[in-house]
Amino acid sequence: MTASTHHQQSSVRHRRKNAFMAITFITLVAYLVSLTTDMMLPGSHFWLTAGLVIAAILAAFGWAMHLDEGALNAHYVAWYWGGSLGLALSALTYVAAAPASLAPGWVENTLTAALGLDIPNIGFHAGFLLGCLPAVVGYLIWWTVVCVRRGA
Amino acid sequence: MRNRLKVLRAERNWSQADLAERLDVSRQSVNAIETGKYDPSLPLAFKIAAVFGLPIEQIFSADDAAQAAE
Repeated sequence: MTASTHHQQSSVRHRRKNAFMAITFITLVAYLVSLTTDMMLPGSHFWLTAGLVIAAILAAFGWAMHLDEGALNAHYVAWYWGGSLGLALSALTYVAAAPASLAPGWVENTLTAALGLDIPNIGFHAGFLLGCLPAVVGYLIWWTVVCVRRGA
Repeated sequence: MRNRLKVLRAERNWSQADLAERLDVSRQSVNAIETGKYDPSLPLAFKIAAVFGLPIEQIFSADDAAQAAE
């Protein structure tokens, strides 16, 4: 393989990575905007978000297929350990917060007061984030550690 | 798993980036293999052997085999 071919493949990798990160960011912003505004048609935020999520998955797939095996292994390891520990943290938080002793609406009222925003179904969104966020954060932390240890 | 990547690379006066380019992997992957943080797949091990023109067993050895040889 020549240096220029390697360089071309490397720049393809970077383009796919950037596309994946841009689409993911746009998805997140669109999702949050659709939650807090009434500018959109009923249900349109779902289809907008669903379309962007599918696009992000396709972009991520294309990006991952062009990673070399060492980089791919780092992501596998990070998802396995960081993601699993994040899920364990989610489960622990749920178990700690779920007892029937919590007054009905306590989560919704507390979050609404803390954020200062009246977001419909905020308890549902908080549950979604509780399920996803620790796993994603755990993955990012573990991935960073793996990269540092491997001399990235 | 132990390997002689660093020695073989030095003998040829190649940087990690040079070897990475020949193997079509990132420099980080070469560093991870060299320092024993990551064991390469069998296809990559064969590719490494081909790049150095040596049999795999002259580049990689199991930890216990390397200790027995010492």
